[in-house]
Amino acid sequence: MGPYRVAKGKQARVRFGRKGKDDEEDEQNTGASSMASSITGSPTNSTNGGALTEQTAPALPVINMAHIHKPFKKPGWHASKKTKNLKQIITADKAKEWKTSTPTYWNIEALPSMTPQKKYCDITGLEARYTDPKTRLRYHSTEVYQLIKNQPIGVVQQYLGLRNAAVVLK
Amino acid sequence: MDMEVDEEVVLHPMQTEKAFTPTPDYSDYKEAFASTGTPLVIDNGSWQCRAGWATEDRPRLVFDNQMAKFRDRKANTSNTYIGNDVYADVLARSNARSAFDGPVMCNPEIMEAVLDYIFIKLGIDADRIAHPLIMTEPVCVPHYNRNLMSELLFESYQVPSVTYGIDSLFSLYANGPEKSKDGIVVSAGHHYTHMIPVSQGKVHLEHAKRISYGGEPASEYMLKLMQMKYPTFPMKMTTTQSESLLINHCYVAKDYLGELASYEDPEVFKTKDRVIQFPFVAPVVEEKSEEEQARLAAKRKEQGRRLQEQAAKARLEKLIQREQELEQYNGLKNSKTTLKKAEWTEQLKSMGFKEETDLDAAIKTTDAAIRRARNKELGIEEEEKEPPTFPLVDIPDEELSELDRKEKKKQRLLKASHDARMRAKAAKAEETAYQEALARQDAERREKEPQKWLEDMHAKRKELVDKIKAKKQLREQLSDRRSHASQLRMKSIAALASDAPPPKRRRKGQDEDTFGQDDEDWMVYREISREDDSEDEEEANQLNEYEQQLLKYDPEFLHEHTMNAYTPKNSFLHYYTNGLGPYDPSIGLSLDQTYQLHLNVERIRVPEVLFQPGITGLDQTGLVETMQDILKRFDKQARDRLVQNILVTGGMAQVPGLIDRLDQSVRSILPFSPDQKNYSVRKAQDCLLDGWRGAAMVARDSERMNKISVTRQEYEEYGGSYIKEHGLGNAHS
Repeated sequence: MGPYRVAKGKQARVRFGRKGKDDEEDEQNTGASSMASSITGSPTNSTNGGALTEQTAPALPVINMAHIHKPFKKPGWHASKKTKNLKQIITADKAKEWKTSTPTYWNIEALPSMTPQKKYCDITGLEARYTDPKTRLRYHSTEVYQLIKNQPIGVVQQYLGLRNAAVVLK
Repeated sequence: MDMEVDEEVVLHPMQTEKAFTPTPDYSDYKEAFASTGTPLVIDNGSWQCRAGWATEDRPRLVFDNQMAKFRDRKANTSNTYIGNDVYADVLARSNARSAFDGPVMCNPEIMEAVLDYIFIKLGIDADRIAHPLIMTEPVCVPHYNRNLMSELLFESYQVPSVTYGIDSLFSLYANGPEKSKDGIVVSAGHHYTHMIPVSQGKVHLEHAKRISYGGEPASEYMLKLMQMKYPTFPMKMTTTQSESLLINHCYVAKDYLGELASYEDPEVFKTKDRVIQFPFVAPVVEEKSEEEQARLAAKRKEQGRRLQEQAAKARLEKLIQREQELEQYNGLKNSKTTLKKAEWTEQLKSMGFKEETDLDAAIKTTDAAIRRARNKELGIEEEEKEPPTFPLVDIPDEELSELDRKEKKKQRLLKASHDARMRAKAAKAEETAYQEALARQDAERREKEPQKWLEDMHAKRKELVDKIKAKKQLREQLSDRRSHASQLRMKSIAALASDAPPPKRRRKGQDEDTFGQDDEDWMVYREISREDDSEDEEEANQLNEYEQQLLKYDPEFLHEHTMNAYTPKNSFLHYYTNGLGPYDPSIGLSLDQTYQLHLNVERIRVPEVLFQPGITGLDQTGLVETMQDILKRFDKQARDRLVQNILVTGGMAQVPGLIDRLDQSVRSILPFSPDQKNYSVRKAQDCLLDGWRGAAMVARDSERMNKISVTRQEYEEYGGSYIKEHGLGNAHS
């Protein structure tokens, strides 16, 4: 296919959380087997090493928790199905009285910045020294400006939305 | 240097969904852990959950913190999958939910399922969890949520005691327990980035600060950037995929502005641009072998022959039918002489004819049809059709009978339509002849005086281009209310709408408003209408024609000189979206190129938000300014101690270049010290698992655990939100 080649060692695998010492081992083993081999106690099911790819018939069985007996639970007690939103909880908490020195979930948020903000182009991400007065988009060069001029209003609002500057009608 | 050689372009494949990885089972509970009271350590993160025994050096279970509960209609079973098992089933993937709302656990039902899963996987088969538990919780978690967790643990699993702590502080402890009495820990988490100062063993949460940016907002931002950059991308991108882009390709620039400027240089750009190839299905062009083709051709011929036979049979049947009809009609006609008039007309009516003339017409048509069919079979050429005659039209009305007059009307209509058709044909022929003549003339001119013809063509094209540009400019001006064109337009609208007559025309006898009588008057509406694009298509077609001609005959006129040329290859906007790989402007992008993303400026833009939250519109201080803010709240001695132990931990800490940038920035905010480095910024040894490790270290210290854990009695006495303060957890409030 011409001048293209695929990056080495990156054959269709996403590396999640396996950085550090495991990097070299990763090429040969999957996470499961390398973990199991270094822990005392034998796992019940044999690990299949690196043979597993997509979800076509996984070698290790997955557990369907709905059909398993859980002996360690006290019978008769179940967690309440009614859940509250974090927003609701915070609003309810804010209404209570707190000492101003107590750190709470909402008052440890970082303060607004005092330093002047650098402006970046909404289209390309480079430094933006100009702003379009009509759409209030920031742009890097005349080339980008030509692009901005022809954009429909929906796209303009989306670009502004990237930096939380879009018009929000409630 | 040979500039013609195409350098290799490295492609990074993107998979469509997360692959399934199994979570191992453990069956050593009875021998190793039952009735030992070994503490269980659970790092309950909103992204990943890590669980294991405190006596070990790493967690046994590491999985994504989610649950999928659904009902399989076909198999008629209810299914619940937890953690990475969710990726094994397509239905489960779409039903995945998390117990968390942001970083806080809000859904105890899902949390219960996750805990069940952890205990099942660890092989626990006792009637309760008889192990002290140490768990992580978010910074300054609301009481309500801690209550939910404690209630779940004590009521359902009947654990003897629970200790809550903050994961990043545990990580600080794991990365040097002796140093952990003083320091600042930067917890680059999934939803937020916290900065927590610890001074003389006390956690100063009142001075801690939280930046609303983390792994999840970063993935969202990356996704939005990609969607804006490639609005016509053929596939829909998911957060999982943008997360993988973040993990694999992003880095923090040491000098952000300098790095941005370097991307404009094509040479540097080539090395830093990353090409992400999405999977696609190429249309399959099946090349059949010789025998296959021959077989298919034979089959088609066979089918054709069969159809021909059927058609011939049908024709024959029809012919026979027609002959029978003809016989009938002729018989009827002949019987006119033999039968009585009344009977004959009745028979006529029963056959479906109103008058004798209809019968005659029917006989004539059937006869003609039979003759034509016969001729066709015999292969005789058909005689020329005579032009239809309308004899009655010329005869004046008075001389004709009633019947004939009706006939005449019919014939007049037919004649009119016939004439119109003839005229239309003639006009079309004339038109085509004219166009051909023009084209021939043009070609002749081109042959004879090529240079002049080219010049003429260029001039014509330029005129048209100027016209189009002027129109475009006018339209732009009209859309801006303050321009001169717009104001003129307003004036003419006001003039048209005003009832008062214009003062200049106050002459006697000319007060009438004669607007509209002249066709030209109505053109004023054309002027005030802002959107007059009725001629645009014509002009565009004309321009296209001129350009085609020029492309064909002028060697210097290339694709890039045409009006609608793509942005040239060396403009930043072009290689920003399409990279610097092979590209032919006349063809556009090839199929695999339409499925490619180019990740360049976004590689540094997305992580930079940690340092400049204003990039996404967050009105907060960045990492460095927050650090300054925190340090200001301590006295000089405490400050000197704190900066000696700045630890960055958490998932986002793995972004390359973050530590160097932070190190450089911290140096810039601290007082000048030329002799020795009076600060230290370091990354946790294992950014993801150190939280668990630190908690395990604390759990192994049973003396400490006795002091800081909340027992079941204390839970029952003081309630679910009660905790004891220890140097690595939330404050009691």
